[in-house]
Amino acid sequence: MSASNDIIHQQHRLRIMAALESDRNPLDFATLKSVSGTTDGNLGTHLQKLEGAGYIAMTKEMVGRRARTWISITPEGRRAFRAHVAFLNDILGNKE
Amino acid sequence: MDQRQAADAIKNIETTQQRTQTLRHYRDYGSVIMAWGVAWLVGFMTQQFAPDAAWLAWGAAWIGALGWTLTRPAGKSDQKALATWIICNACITLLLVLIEADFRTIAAVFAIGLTAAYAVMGVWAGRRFLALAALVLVSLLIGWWVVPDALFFALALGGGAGLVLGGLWLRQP
Repeated sequence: MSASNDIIHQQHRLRIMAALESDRNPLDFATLKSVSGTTDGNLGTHLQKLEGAGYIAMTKEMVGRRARTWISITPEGRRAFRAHVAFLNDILGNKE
Repeated sequence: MDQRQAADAIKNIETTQQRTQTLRHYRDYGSVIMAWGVAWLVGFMTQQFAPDAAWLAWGAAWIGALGWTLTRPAGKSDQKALATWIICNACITLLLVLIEADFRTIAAVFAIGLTAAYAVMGVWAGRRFLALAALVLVSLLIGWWVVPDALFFALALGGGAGLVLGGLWLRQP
């Protein structure tokens, strides 16, 4: 049986990882804020935690005078997310 | 973790991924809709205020909007949908030529066609498209019945300027 991933398991981080895993392109901060249902500050904290674990990568782009942050999932993050989904399916007795 | 918590987490993942896909559709189609909004704005404004130059304006507007669409991610990735759209437009155009329809009828038919296209996208890709469909339809109905002398102006505002703003709105997460 797969093991639970304590970093990804938290509700907002689970949404962030789910969103990043589903899109072929990096997502911007505003899109992730919308899909994860967090505030700017909370989202920043969750992103730092995921980045620290090596699950996501962040890049900044200047658009005029404003910085725009793009977030993408790393190969390690994708593996960890899929392993966590497998763990959830194991509990439910689902076959992937 | 028990089964209920696992089921909630799976549901959470599915809902989030569906929402992300919807936002991606909005983002991809936003600039395409803005381009067609500009085409409608230019075409119908010219038709209202300088009808002699309407064919030229419409030709340039269509080429510009089509070129923009073909070079956007939505146009590149959805070639079959785009081909379907072009075939439908070509058939409608041929029919209108054959029956020698006047400009008012042509405008109404294309506005209804655009309304239908956005309504279908509203069903398949995201509800915000339904609002755009309603916007085009309302501008047609107002132009047709309330201000018939300014039908093209109404379509320029609703189907043109409205879609430019609608495209901007779609791009917001």
